[in-house]
Amino acid sequence: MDPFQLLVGGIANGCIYGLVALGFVLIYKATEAVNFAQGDLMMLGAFVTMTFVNQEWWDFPFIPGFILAMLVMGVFSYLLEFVIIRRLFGQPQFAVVILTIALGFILRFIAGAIWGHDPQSLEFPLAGESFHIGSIVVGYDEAFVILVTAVLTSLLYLFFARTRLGIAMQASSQNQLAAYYMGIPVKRISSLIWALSGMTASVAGVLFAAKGAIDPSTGLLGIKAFAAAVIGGFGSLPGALAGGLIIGIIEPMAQFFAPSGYSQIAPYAVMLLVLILRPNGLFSQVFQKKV
Amino acid sequence: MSLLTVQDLSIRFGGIVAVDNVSFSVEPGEVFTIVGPNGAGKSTIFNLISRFYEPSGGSLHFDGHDITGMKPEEIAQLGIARTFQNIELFEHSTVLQNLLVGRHSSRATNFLQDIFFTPGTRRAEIEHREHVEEVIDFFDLQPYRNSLIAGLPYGVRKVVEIARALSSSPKIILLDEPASGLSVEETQDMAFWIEDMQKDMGLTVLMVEHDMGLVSKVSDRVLALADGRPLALGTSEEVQKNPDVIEAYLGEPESAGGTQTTASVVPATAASATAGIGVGNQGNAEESHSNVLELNNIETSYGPILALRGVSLNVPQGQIVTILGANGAGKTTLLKTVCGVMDPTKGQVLLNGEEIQGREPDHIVKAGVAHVPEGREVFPLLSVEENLMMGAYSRSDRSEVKQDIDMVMTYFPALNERRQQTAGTLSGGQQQMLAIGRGLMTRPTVLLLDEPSLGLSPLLVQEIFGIIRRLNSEQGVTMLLVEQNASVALKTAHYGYVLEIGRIVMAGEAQKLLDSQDIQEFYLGDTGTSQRDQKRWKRKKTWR
Amino acid sequence: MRIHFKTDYRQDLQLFADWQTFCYYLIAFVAAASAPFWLGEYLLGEMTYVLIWVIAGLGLMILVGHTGQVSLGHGAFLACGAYMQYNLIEAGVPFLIAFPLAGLFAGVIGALAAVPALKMSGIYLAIATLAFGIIVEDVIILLEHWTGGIEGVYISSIMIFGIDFDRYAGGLEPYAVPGHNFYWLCLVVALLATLFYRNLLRSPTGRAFIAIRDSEVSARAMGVNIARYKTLAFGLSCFFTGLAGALLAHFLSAFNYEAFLILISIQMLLMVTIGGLGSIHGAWFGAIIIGMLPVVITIMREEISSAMGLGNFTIPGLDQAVFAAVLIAFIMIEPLGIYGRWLKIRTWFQLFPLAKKDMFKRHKSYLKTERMR
Repeated sequence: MDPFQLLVGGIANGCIYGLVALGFVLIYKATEAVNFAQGDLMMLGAFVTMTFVNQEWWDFPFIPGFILAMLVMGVFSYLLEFVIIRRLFGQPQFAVVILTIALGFILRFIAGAIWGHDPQSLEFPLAGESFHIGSIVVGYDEAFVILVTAVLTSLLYLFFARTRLGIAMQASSQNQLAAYYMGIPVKRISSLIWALSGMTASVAGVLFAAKGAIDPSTGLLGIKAFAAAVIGGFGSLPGALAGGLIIGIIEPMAQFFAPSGYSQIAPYAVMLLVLILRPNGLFSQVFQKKV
Repeated sequence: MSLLTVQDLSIRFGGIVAVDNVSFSVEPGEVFTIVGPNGAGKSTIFNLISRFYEPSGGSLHFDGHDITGMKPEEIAQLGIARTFQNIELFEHSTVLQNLLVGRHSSRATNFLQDIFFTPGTRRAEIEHREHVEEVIDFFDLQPYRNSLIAGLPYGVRKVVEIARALSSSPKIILLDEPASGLSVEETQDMAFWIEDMQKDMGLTVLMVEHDMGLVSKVSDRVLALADGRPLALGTSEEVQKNPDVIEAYLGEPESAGGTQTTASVVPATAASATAGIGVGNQGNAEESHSNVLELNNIETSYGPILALRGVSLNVPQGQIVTILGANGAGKTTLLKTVCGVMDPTKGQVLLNGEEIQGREPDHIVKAGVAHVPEGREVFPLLSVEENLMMGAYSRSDRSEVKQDIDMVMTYFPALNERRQQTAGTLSGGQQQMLAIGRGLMTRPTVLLLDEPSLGLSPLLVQEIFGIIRRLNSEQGVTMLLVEQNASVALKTAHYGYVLEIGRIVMAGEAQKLLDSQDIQEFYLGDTGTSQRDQKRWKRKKTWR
Repeated sequence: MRIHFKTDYRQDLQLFADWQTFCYYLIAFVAAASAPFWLGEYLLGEMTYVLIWVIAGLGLMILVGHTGQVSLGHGAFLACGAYMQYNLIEAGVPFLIAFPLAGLFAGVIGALAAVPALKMSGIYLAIATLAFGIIVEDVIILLEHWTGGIEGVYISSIMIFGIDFDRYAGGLEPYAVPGHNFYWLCLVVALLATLFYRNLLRSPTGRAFIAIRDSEVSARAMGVNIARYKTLAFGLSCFFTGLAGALLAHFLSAFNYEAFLILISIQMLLMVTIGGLGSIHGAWFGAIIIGMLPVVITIMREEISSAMGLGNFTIPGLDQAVFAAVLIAFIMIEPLGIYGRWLKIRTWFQLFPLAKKDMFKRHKSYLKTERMR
């Protein structure tokens, strides 16, 4: 098979990892908490969209259904923060990690109870169609994934760098107390970022489901996405995308070139290598404290 | 032979030369002090000596060893101990455990012996303990022996850190701003201890300090630095008379002592003080001030400890009110209670007559209370400009925000040059300016200032307080000021309260407080030269 | 409230603060040691399982709770211990030699793994160890010769001086349920591990670990060699985990890579966190909760479904979801772990009837960035 063909598939996959990683980074950037349920939010987003869009369910047109699902996921994540995560406000990061790991179990159970445990697929309007660049076949779904990811990442990047709310989010993660002193509603900001992150997750979920089937355990993909976020330098949005792409590209390449049995280790081996060489990730977000 | 020799030491960070060809030597048994403006490279020299930074040039010799290429942990074995500017204690351990870690460099057992807790380990442990107990006795830390660091007042932490350094039985001890944030009384204790370390224990002391009162009391020699270069070296008097040092560091010569203040400020405030500041029902000839902020019988507790025990005070419109008190008196708690970061268990906080206690802090800020917290608390990864923008978060008038940023920049030109720099890389003084500027950006009805002079050079303290006075007179900003440097605070403020162990014990017009004998003894300090020649007992605290 | 008048520094070096405390622990010990006489076979098996988790948890606690280095891949070291134990036992090495060797092997691997991990911290270390754990999972499958590949292996039972310590062996048949020998073996190992841990904490090595956790900068300034002590912490931690792995191998009898999945590593981390980071009690509490909770949930489910006449009613994942919900409740009520709550309850009784509600109220607390180091 043509390595370039692999590259296209890898990039598209990497974009999905990148999007889930973005969700991790969003929450980290605004609250310095790590949300281990991010992958499960993605899974949930995919299922909700499927419910709106698929024929055997409610059969909405794709675009409105997609947008509606995003909104639903946004509200759901907002409430998740408001009802549960907020109880741990100001508590060590560790507590939130444990909490979200446990939440992941519950989300998986809920999804299983509602949608069953068999793999299902989303009816995606562009599925199966493709175009050619030279000898490489590019599926419309792949192109769609790459495009959406690029747009979303740049939008979020601009949001954090330019808007007042974006900067306030960064401020509240760097020093909650000082953010309060400035009149920044730290708790509401935390809910907002969860909503945003839930929406990003649902986009990732739709893109994932557009390329293949989903089932409740799809959320475990979150581990790979988390790895992507970390090698990018946790807290950096372009880093998350870069990390996602690295993992996405290495996977098919390893399957193709490495002997069987070794290929699934490849992304993790590369990740370890990156961290050994750059202990704080590619786009390091760690700074020297003055003593 | 010198104990520590520093030769042509230089270091560069990026393109900036932080320390430039500095040479000095410390003789055994002397107290050698480095002074200089914020950002002059004093702490950097400490970090170079204790080997946290790699020098880009020069050499370091200690006690016959070339330590230039050594690691920090090896340095400790040789007998160099240090403290840190921003207290780096082991927060979740007790005082005793902290001091025992100080014994690490003289540990005699390996981990296998430790796991089986052999008789050898037991013996060594008891030896360590005995040694540490001596240190505890020396610093009077007995009451805190088994308390966790996390719950200790600032002044005690400062002492524990020195005690930890001393536990390692060093030959030289490096003290980074030992008196910053300490009250006058605690600073005097510090002077005693430094003298005792030198005279009784025969220890060599290398110190960085801003409090010129302490510096002249204990130092044998003083080195003044500016911009990483030596300005002057000599006895404390010689250095303080050096015109370059005065210009770069001390400001006007009259203010040489950290506990004395500029003469120039007195008229301005004295005038307003004699005008009779209306507090409560006291009438005022010119205008009657309504109270912007009123506290009624506030009680706040940290867990089982009642930190504020029924505090009532008033802050009138357009006035500066200061709160004096030792460390742990509850001053910071008071400010935190006002701005909603801590909830009072009893009492009322009234802002323009409206109750605000117990609300979320962001509501209180919107209502008009701005807080410049102790220890700056800037957003370290945001730029200066973004930090200021955050100050205006709760405002919606974009164009005026721009104007206000420009206004802050005119008050603090040092920030204007660094608009795009990330705040974490600013020097302590610049961060303090940024914190004040950020507080102003909220356009507060009342500005709470917590220790604005902490860790700042005498010149900067004068500058900052000059700006505080200007803000008050030009912009009419009402302020509640908490300050360790009581004389500057009282000369700036119109009215003052004294807080001790959670209670207001004294209140009055600033000038009256300045004249009070108790205030002079406990908060302003005396002006003697050497602590040794003086009485070493303290009068019982009273507030008359 | 008890007040101790101390007259000698030796008193601070004692294992128990006073005879009363000693009595409490003695009662707990007697209760635990006599379990085979009053517990059923199923519950005794679960108790044995909990003890194995206690040992593993103690290991992880050294690293996470006392040295401040997060590991999300400790399942890998569990596997190291288990497979080493298998190979040694099958090679005919007596248990008493094979067992410490298995731990040592895991410890050495851990110390080697620490070398690249020295520069990392926080989430970066967590994810690196996670990757390590996943890689080890696959390596187990690849090293078929030693590990039996995907099929796994079957380990022979433990014989010490001719006495059978197998999981299902029972020498005191009429009095105690089968498996008591193995249970007692696990109890002894767990207690020894606890004792060693205690010793560590009251000596310079343990203090150096805590120093590294709280402030690396000042630990260095006090002369602590960070690299050496971090490596040591990894080594000791993995040694204990390896021992737990060896016992786990015997407990499971037949096992393959699935016994050491990454979920196990996550569960171990849950255990120490729920128990309360930075305390030996925490490791015990955590293991008991995480180990016993699924048992309690299963029993409850069966009770409820039979009471409601639903027969053998199951929804896939329900047990796990309930488990997770209970964890969430724990964390929300007490973010500092069960040990934190335990201290509060103890204080309440010690002060009775003087304790005030305010004393235990959670305070507003605020975080600062961890990105400045």
